[in-house]
Amino acid sequence: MMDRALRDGYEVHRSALAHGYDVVLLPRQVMEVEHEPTGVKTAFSHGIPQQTTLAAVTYAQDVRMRRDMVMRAGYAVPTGATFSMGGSLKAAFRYAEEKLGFPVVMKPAVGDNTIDVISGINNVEELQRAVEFFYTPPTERPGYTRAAYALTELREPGITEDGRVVVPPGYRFLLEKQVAGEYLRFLVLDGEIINVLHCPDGPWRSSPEAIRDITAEVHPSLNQIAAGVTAAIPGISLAAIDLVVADHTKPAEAADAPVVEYSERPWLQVQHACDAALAQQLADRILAFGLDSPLTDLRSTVRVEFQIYGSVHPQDLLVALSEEFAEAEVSGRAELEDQAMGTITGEVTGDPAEIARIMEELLDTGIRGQRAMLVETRHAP
Amino acid sequence: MIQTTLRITESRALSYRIPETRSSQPKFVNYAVALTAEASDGTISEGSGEGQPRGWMTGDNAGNSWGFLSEVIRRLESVELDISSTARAVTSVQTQMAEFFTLAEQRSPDSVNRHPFRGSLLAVETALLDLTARALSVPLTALITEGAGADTAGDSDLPQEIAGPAAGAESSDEFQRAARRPFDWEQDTVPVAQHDDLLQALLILETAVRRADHSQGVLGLDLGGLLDMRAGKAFVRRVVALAVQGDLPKRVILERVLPRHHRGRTQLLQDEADAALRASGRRDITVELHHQWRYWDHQTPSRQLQVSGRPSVQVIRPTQYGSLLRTAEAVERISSEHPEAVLLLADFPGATSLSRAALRSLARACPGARAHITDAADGGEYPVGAPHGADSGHGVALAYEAIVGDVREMTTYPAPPQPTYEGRPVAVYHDVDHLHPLGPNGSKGHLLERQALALGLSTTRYSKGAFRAGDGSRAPLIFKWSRNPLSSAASLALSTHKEGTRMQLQRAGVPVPQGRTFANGDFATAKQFVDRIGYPVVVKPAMGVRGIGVVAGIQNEQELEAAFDIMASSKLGKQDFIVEKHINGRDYRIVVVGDEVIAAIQREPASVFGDGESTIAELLLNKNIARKRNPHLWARPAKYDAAARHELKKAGMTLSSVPAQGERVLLANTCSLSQGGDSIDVLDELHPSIIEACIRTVNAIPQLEYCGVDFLLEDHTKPLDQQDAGICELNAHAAIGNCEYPMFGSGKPVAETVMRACIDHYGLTARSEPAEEVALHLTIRGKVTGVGFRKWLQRRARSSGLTGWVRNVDRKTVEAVLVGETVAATAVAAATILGPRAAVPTSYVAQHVEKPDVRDFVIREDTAVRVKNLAKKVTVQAGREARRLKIYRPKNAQEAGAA
Repeated sequence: MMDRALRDGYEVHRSALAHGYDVVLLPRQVMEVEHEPTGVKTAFSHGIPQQTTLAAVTYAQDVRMRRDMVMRAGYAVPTGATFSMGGSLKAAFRYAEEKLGFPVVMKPAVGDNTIDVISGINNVEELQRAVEFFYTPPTERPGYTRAAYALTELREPGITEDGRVVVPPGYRFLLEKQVAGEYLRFLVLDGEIINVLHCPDGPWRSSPEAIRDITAEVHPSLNQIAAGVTAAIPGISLAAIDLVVADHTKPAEAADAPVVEYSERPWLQVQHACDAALAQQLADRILAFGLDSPLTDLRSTVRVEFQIYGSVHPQDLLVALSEEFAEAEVSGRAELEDQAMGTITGEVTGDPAEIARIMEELLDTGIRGQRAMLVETRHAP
Repeated sequence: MIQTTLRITESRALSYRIPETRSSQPKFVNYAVALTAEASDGTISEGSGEGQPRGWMTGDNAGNSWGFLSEVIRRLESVELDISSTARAVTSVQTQMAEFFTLAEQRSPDSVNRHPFRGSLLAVETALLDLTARALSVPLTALITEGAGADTAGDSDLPQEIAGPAAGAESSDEFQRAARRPFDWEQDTVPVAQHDDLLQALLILETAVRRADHSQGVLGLDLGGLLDMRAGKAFVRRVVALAVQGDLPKRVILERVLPRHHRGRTQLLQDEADAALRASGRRDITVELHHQWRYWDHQTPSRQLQVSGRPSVQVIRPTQYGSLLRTAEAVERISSEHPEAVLLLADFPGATSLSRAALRSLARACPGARAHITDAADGGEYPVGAPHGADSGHGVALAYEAIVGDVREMTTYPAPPQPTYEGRPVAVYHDVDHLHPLGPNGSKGHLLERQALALGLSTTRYSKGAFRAGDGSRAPLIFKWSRNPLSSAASLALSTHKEGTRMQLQRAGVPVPQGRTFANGDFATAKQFVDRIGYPVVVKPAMGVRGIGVVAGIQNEQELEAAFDIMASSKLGKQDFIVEKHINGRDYRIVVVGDEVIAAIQREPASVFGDGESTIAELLLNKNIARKRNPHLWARPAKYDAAARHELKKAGMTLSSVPAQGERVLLANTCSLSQGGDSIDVLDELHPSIIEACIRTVNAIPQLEYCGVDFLLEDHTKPLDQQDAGICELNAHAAIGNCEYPMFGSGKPVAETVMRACIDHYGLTARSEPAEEVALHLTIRGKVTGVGFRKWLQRRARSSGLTGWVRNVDRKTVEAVLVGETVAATAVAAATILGPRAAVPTSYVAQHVEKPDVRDFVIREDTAVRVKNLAKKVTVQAGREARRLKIYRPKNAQEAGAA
């Protein structure tokens, strides 16, 4: 099963190879896509088109600022406030008990949206357990992921009296009133709603069977709200917007559809869980938007030449590649070009999805223990 | 040969912050004065003194105390002192000081404090006395004794010294143990040693018990406002307990336990004492609390002693007298008039070893003082003074090496020349004073907003780093620090990955150092790689920032292993790491916006250039004072740390060495500006091939529109192909301040260029030229009422020369109008996101308004009050009108219904 953090980049990568585009894959899922004959060229990071600006993702990753901007744009967010682990925990408990009332949702104030969100906190004991979870540094939490453009944590970690390393005292979290209703995930691309899912228990806790594609059923007023919310942060070209509504088929005002999540990453893993083909179709649309060009020439098998740079142990990587390609039924050859610089070249033929997967994993955590720093994949003439 | 005159050839004052030893302790700032003088036979003498300016407690809040001290220092230049005898030397100092006491009054005409600048004056007098004593080769005590007109000969036995915890708190004395045992704060357990002030109070108590004559059954004790309420209550309870045990007389009178501004709460302490006594059931014991706060001369304690008619302990602080000579005189008078009184000499909190030396000299000259108390607080361990070895003066010389990193201000006469870098003068910036209130990194988050406002946009700020700017019609531009709306998220993702960047640039044909990435902890393979590419090499984390964990110039395997250790133990030590070839070039930061290089600085390690006369310490201080006037570098002084000591040792020098004219002395091995490195503007000298390489570099990264290119070059004026060169890093969110404000050369308008590019790219409507003056309406939200916000803003605005007004709107909103120079108004606006200490602002909106007709900055009536008053006025007027028209008004609903 592919890591959810890799899914977006991988799907766009797959789409690019499948539609005849050349790809340069760099660390941290930065991917350049080009089509030499037409001169079309663009780039993605975690599947996010380069039209999304650096400032925009920074704002989207800061819950306090993006809540403020969404509210200033005229949309509703659940009542909530941010607190720090070191300075205002008592105030947070008071706030949850006396002002918000249970159930509440707890989420990190800064970082990848929709990740580490604890919902359904119904009493003080459960809130205490959620706080305990948040004491663990993000890098140690199960399913840890962090976007490549996120702010670097440079604060000293906190240390408890018994020597446990915890988050810095200034680590902040948001406590938000949990809203009852239908949990909807809108995927917004360039102001257009390209998919809507109903996730009864939220994007990550709903079982794949329970997630339902309701794009055709959703009332246009909700689409309008989701598009407007996305535009609240200028510079976001692609977003996953989560609204909670009473009935997705009925018209709604902004006040009836509070925004519970706003992510600058599409998180196609949720669509993939519902329907693998749906995630692929959406990735195709994202690629086309990034290239500003319609996609043609879909191929189920491709023949590509590749160059791998920065292999730490190139001889071992050659072995790993041959095993991995064979297992994925990708045929071809690979050879060592420069031992000192760890460069490998080759040519393979096979399913673009498998080639994309292998290259993505090679630059992420590695294949069979072998990693590299850059892969250039060009369609063979 | 007997010297007759002493001419001061150099006078210097320094202001320095005592490093805090605990977060709970306030950060003290002290003044030191250092004088150099030449005697008639050409002999050179030096003298030094320290004072503690402590606001209202020492009268240093009577005006600008540093400005006053600077004026005194200027007046001291070329002053001649008659040192033909000890008596004449003292008279000479007294005459000079009388002039300065008068000047102090002249410089504080509006102050309610009638004893101005005593902390500053003490530093001056101590330095003058030390100077003359050293010129005469006599101890300082001899001069003080002479000045006090005491009957006893100088240099008498040193009265008992009471030391704080640093001097060792162990004692076999039972009382001492009882007094110092762990304290019970409201029945909790905080050891006394954790509260210096409380410990000092107990030391005073202890001395009082030992020294006072208890035959009358009364003990008076003056604490000089030493304790806060919590410590005060604990102290009172301890006093009661000791009295109940029989360790104290049955009547105890405690004076000035709380500071003056809390004197109104003394009754609470009295209640605490009464409650403790009631609980003990002892009706024969009384503990009385009093408060009296004017101790500027001998008269107050004398009068107090006369009035109370009881044996009492009085704490005399020379800092409040502004003079060692006047203190000695007061002690002698009080002790002769009230021989039963127990007089203690004491420092002020934050006094250092320099003050301690002077206090000891004073104590020796005051046989009337029963004891003196040193190391009153944290400053006691701060080695500002170092023994000079000679048996003259107070025995201690100003130790520059201890304070070079903590000096905030320095004034020297004759003024030393400004530092230069290879002939380039220090750049002069006029906005530094406006930017100071924003803190050490204040310019980092502010400069772009300043430009946005100057160009006519309105802004909303969320934090020190984040703001948005708009023209009211198009979507706003958003920024956090220098993360901007021009560059893509992908560009940052790639450029913060050093290895990915290197490979991408290599593909683009830009020179980069040979190297590669290794898995975290895989040092063995990395060593094999180094064997292949050869030394020297650089080791750095794969996704580093701010140079953390980077070690350059590694020459051999031993240094390589040390570098691995340094990197692994850094904050980024858990990452993969890079080993690459070290390029023997200088370090440059070149800023590219779009397709244009707009700024370039050369970064050099911290160093000083000799003038043939000054010591390295003096050159370093002079350099740091110049850095204080740089908006980007003012909080990043060159330090005298382990690296500096290492460099000096390599050069066979010390801080006291005097480098030759033009000789460069390195004080660091890193070019980091945060570590004191210099920045030199070189934009106009860059070779075209270097500019072209920078633009090609930025174009190689997806949608990178603003970038700091870190280039290693042997010579920035030569073609790239004629030198060893390489790009070692790209910074997609490069700090703007370092190129906007280079230390040498001229600054470049980086912020304006970036803001212009954003405005043009998104088609916003803006002014063609930045406005020099603005009128801004601010709406500030958050915890901003009931925290002194309006007074704080008024003070800040007035000191920045702004006019306008401020008022409360509701419980969570304050609005204000700031009118004045753009740099001043925008900086004050930015400061409102910080506010006064108790405030927690969450956002502000700044919008341009028509300039109102205002000539001062005033606090206006609250909106709520205004509305209430307006409503009242309307009701009254309506009533009058009704009466005039004889309209019947129903009195209540029933009547109205009936009608």
